[in-house]
Amino acid sequence: MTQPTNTRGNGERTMVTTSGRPTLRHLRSKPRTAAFLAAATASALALAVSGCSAGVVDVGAHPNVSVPQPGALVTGSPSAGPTASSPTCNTAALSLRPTAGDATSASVNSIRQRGKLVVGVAQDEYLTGYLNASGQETGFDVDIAKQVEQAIFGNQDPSHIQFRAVTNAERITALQTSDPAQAVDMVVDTFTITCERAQQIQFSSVYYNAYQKLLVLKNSGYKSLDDLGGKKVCAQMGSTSLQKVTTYKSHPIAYGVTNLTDCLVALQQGQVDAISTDDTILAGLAEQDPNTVVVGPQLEPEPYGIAVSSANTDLIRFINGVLATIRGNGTWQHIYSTSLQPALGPQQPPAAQYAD
Amino acid sequence: MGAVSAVATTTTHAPAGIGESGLQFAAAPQAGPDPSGPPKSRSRLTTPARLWAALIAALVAFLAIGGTCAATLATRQASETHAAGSSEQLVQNVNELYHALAEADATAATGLLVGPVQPTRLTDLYNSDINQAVSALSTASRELAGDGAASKQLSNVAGQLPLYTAYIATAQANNRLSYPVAGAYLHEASKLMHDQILAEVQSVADEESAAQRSGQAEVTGFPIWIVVVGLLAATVLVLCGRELSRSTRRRFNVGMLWGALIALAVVIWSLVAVSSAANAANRAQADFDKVATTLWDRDSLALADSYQSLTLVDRGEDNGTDAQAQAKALGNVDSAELTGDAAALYTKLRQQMHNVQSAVDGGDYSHAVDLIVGHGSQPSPNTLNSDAAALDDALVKTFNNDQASYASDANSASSALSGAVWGGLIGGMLAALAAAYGINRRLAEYR
Repeated sequence: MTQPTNTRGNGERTMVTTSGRPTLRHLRSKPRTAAFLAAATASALALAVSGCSAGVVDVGAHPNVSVPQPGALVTGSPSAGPTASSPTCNTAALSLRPTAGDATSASVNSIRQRGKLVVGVAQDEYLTGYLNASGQETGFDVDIAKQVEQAIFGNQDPSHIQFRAVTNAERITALQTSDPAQAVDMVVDTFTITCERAQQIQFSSVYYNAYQKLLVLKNSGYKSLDDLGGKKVCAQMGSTSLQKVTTYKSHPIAYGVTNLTDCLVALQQGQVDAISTDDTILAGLAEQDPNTVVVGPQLEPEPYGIAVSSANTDLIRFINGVLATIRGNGTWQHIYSTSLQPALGPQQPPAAQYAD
Repeated sequence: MGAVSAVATTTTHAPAGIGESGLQFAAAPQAGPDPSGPPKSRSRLTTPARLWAALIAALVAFLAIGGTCAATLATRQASETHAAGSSEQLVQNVNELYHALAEADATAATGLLVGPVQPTRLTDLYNSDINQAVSALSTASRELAGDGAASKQLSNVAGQLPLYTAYIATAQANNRLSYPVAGAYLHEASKLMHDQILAEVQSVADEESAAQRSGQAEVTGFPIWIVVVGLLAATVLVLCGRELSRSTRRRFNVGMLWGALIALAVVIWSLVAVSSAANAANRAQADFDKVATTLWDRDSLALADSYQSLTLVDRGEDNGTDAQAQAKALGNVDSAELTGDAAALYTKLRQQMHNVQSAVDGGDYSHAVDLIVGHGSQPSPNTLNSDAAALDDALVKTFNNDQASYASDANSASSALSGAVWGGLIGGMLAALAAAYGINRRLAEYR
């Protein structure tokens, strides 16, 4: 029934109109031939009919309004989810031990000569990596990255560090590309260490252990996924969190979104009952709505690491040195307490382990 | 409805006239002479009866010519008035609705990019866009009240607009607190705007544009009924003339001759009027094409603008769909038709959008925001935002010029027809009177 129709203006645009249009409009603009008398009668009738149907609303009716849906229900187990860590490697101990000469190694010197450390970060994850209202990068990951900057240049100065927003999918390619407009020296972006990823890039030692948890309304009474059987739980499409929700024994209903912030919209609009993802992200969402709270047992850990290109072994040793320093001198604790602690409670930095 | 019912009254003459003259044409040979055997066949009817028959046939023929000419011209005049009046205004209203909505969306997104405190000028612009949209929507709904499908589409728009503004308000409240969920609310609002509201409006705009076009086409068509009825009437009149000259032994009937001359003048006058109206209507159509192109260019630029800002709000989470939609909207602008300031500003705007995209590709969103709106409450010159506003002003100027030419050409098409309508009616009656007088003189000889 759809008819390919009108071009408009100079005819550049072709459009499809709705199907089954009444002929009134066409008759209105074609008032000729003997059919016109019939047309006039028909239009009078149509006016009378439409006047009856469109002129009066049902008293006391409460029509359903279709509100925007930020996501969609997910049935079955999502196949596109990233595979979990292979049991054959220890993700906590994949990285290289710092050595004495790291600060003057070739990789670090080239960054120093360039005068700028280029860091791939998120710009939309509140409390971890976020471009704030003044146009400045803020968050836990960003502060960790600034510690590396300070170790290279001796101080923290916006002219010494350039943040480049990377999407989750770009985190690996930005380290591998040779295009100077896209390339970054390192990625600090809630990047979970997996054995599969470690074959393409290098990770630092673990600087934070995240856990998949739940964000619920404070008065909801939900404590874990066990309480959410038959309830809608929001997670990112293609994520391990979504996979866990769809396969969980209490049978929650998975609700997938593209961007995790959309989960908060869905929660606030009453479209879902809970949000499930890394506790760091949940802390960022909880910070934006005082009526929500992060709950749930610590499930499988998601160890976060700083990533660099696989060729840069001296840079990763240097970064591990920086992480070792901030674990020991209280800087890590300070950064954590100003960003994530209010929502996630006090924590100690994860102990460093190395492969060599 | 005044115009339509007026058309109905005048047009109904045409078929009736045609029918009667056709009938008369068929009846005439029976009543008229038979060349092969005049005395026998004539003997059935007396001469006065034959004269009466000729009189009636001539009256019907002349009135049919006059009526057809008047009806054709009146119909065309009504079409032209309708195309130039309500159809064109509807096209204008619906396009303005589209533009105001797209601009409101662009403004809301830009307001979020500036920072937690949205500059007053952006708040004012957003409010004024929504106001303009509601005004255009209510006017268009009123004009389209008789069109069920279009009314339904506009009613959907009216239902979704409050949801849109509610989401934008929630986004603004969150942005005030610097919460990134503001971006998610804005994204949802924009999705509603682009995928549903603007799609409905665009569909109505396309249909109204087609209706306007078809109304103009009515005025430029070949006046077939004048020719057909003219030929039929001429045949009837020739037969009447032959019958008269045989019955009255005079070469010409003076009244009939005058009648024929008047009828010929009416037909020629009508054809000249039709042709000059068609010329004016063709000019008007060319003007309207320009008007429609300019309106659509404004719509497309506002849409591109809104996707541009959305790109920065989504910050890569859209997987490049914002940029694609923006490029598509920008591609819809008919750049070849832009002239003067508009052409220069468009080139500059494209370059600005390219620069923003480069900054986005490099992950430098802070710089991209600077390029679009600058930081701070004052409007910054040479930002994409200010250039887009200047381009829109230039396009509005172009629109006003083309719109004036259109109104003038449509008006001359309409007025080319108006005099000839009465000419047809009065001429037809005068011709009929002349014929009646002429034949009555002969009939008087038998009283």
